[in-house]
This record gives sequence, C-alpha cells and structure tokens, in this order.
Amino acid sequence: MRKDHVADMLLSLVGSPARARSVVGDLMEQSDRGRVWFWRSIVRVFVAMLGRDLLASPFAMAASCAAAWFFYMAASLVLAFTAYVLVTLVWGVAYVFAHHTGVELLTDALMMRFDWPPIPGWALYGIQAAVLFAIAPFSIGRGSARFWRGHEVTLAVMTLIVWTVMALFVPLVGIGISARPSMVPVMVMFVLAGALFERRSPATAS
Amino acid sequence: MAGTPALGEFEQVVLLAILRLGDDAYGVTIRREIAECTEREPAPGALYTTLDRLEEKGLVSSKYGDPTPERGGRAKRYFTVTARGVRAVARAQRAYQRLLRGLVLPGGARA
Repeated sequence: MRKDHVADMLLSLVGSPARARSVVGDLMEQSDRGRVWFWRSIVRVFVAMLGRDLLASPFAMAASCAAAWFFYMAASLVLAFTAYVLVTLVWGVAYVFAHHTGVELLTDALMMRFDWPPIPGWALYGIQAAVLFAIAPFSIGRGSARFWRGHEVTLAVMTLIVWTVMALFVPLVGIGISARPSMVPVMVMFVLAGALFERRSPATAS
Repeated sequence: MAGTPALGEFEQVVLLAILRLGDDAYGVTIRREIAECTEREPAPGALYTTLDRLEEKGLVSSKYGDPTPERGGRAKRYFTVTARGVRAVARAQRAYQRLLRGLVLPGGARA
C-alpha cells in the first residue's frame, strides 16, 4: 500500500474521506519538505482532529459509552450463558456418540443417564474470554457506530476512558474477569473493530 | 452585534489570510500566507481544525476543486469567507484598533 493511501486511511478515521484526501493532497504538494515532515504532519493533523472531535460533543458521547457499558454487561452475560449451554450440549452429544453403542445410546437416552466428563477448563475459559473480550465488545462497537458514523476512532477513545472509569468504580459482583480495568483496552480494540466493520458494511454505508 | 460570533486570535489570522488570497485560498496557500505575514508557521493540525471550526460557525464556506496530478489525484479544498465571516473579522479588528488607540507601548513605540 502506498504511503499516501495509508495517510488517506488514517485521516479518514477522524473525518470524512473527501476531507482526508484534500489534507493529504495539501501535504503531498509540499513533498519537498521530506518524508519525516509529511508523516509528522499527518500525525499532528490526526491528533488535532481527534481532539477536536472528542471535545465536539463530549457529554453525549460519554453518555452513549456509559450506556454501551451496561449493554455490554447484559449482552456478555446472555452470550456467555448461551455459549456455555451450546458447548456443553455439543461436548456431551459428541462424547455420547463416541463412547456408546447404539443400544446403550438408546437406553441412556430413555433414562436420561448421560455421564459425560466435564468440559476441560481451558475450553471454558477460552469460550468465556472470546465472548467477554471479543464477541460482545465487537457487537457493541457495531451498534454504537450507527449513532456515531464518521467518529469511530473518537468513539473508541471515549469508550476507553468511560469503560476504564466504569470498571474502576462500578461494583460488578459476579462478572469476574471482564470487570478488570486492565482488560478494557483489549475490549476497546474489538469495539473499534466492530465500529470500523459497521462503517465498511455495504448494508449501512451511505 | 448580534449574530457575529467572537473570534480567537488564530481564527482572525486565518480569516484575514483567506481574504488576502481571494479565489486561491486552500490549505497550502493559506498556510504560506500566514507564515509570510506573521513570520510564524502554523501547525497543520491547528490550521485544518480551525478551518473546520470556522466552517461550522458559518464564517467560511468550502468547495472542492478538480483533482490534480501533483497532488496524487486529490482535489484542493478552496475556502471563501462568508458575509458573516467578514462582519466577524471586521468587528474583531475594530476592537483591536480601539484598544490600541492612544496607547504607547513599552519601549516608546506608538501604536
């Protein structure tokens, strides 16, 4: 990918694509100043536009992120429980089919007698982590991006701030690992991925 | 005066540069004009965010020109000061002139 396309892509994360292209064009027109100047200027414009976007409607965006946190909590509980039930069923059925003959299977099924071993801990933790840190935040990012089209990176930065505060101050009994502030950046990466996915989605792109 | 927003110092500088440039006011020329007149080169981030802010306030309008090859096929974004922008900058300049009138600056220079 050419450097100007990377610059276009970077600036279009904090503004409209047409505006990003015109800014990159301005900086390319002064290319005699060198590559370091070009990239330093791109970064400075990116930071300035991001800062301005953050301050444009900070309270509305912070409220949106706080609401998204509660949606995330609800969604992660439902998703984690659903995933647990599904995996338990798949695990059990696979075990039963692998270790029982046809007659045993029929009698066990009639007597509701299934003695499959517990699912390995790593599998359960893996499912829980995937749901809490990736799938639920990704879905929340997609949902939030519908309200903040063209402000996806700003939304991610605000989400990082608000969710860290929420994880620090909101008591979350029973949520466990997802409530740790140190994990918020990972979750926000998936929020951003979901928001950018929503932006590129042909169904909603306009 | 009702309807004309207060302007910051850099906003006035940008508006004056656009007025000086006339039909050729876009990012590069505005920046160059400011650097030549003030002997201070504006940061690119500050310039573009100020231009966006002025447009949101209705003090400037912008339109895209034709794509040019030296810019990698990217269009220039030309700026024009609106009537409201002219009124705002004139008002701000009058305020400066009133403040300076009769003032003797340190070092003996008369304003």
